[in-house]
Amino acid sequence: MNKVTAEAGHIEDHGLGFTYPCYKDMADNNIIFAFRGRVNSDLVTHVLEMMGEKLEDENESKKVTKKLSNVMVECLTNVYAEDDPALMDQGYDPTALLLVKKITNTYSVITGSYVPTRRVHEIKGMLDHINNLDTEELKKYYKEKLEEEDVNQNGLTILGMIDLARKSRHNLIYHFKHENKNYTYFMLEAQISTKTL
Amino acid sequence: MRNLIIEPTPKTPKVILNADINVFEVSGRSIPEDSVGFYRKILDWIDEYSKTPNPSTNFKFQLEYFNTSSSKCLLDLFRKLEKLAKGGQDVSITWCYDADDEDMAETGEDYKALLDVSFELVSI
Repeated sequence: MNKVTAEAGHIEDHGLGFTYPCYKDMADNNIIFAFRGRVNSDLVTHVLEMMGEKLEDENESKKVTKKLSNVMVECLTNVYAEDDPALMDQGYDPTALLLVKKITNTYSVITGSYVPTRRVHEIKGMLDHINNLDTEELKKYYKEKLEEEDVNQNGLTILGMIDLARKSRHNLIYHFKHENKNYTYFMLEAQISTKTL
Repeated sequence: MRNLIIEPTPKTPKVILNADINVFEVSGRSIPEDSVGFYRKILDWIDEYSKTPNPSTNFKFQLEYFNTSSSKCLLDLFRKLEKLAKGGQDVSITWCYDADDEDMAETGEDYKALLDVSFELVSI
């Protein structure tokens, strides 16, 4: 049973005080799905199943469900492609955050994860370049990258980001939160407009 | 030659490569972490098959979704079939996609534009 503290005059929260603000933040930001943890291909499968069931319950169209699934696969693939084992020894949090929000006719798939700080400039340049291309230029760029031989992880990341921009049909929104010289938090948002589907 | 049959998993596609009955199909999801390792078996099988191919070869792909590294592996696979066709063999590729999946249709169009082999897109 909860005790009322004499000084504060409120019910002790037993360490659960963060829960309501967390819920409130999610509700206020129209978050319909949230996950934090290590990302691998098993996780991708589970997330797609959960989202598929959720969208079916909400009678979302098959076209929207397909589009959202395709964008989520790309977002999550990019997160685990960026999961740099070299950072494990430097005390960073290897978990990724996945959020899906819906505001009227737009879904957003948002990922957050740490990347090596040395890669920030390169990732920013890559995203700015992609965001400056129109539909046809993106298509051409995608084919060029797809055809490149001996692609390394960086090449796959570029290909994945181009694919993400093509599938979402919107510019990719990003933000970096610098933590220290070793790692930086990277946030990426891909939007999907259901009106055009 | 030996057939290559791989049962599907939640992250890898079903593969039926059976030269005896002339069935060549890849279907389902393709999001393995090690795409290169998974597709290596298929590429090796095609190399072997290419030594004594059937009079006519149609490869059917019906993928639900796939990751970026799989997209590279698929192109490698298509290139092998393209090479077989350029060698004078009757080879074709059928890319089946869900009618509600515009991304899968678009990806098929991208591959078709890159390849010099019969490549048919079929909406299902």
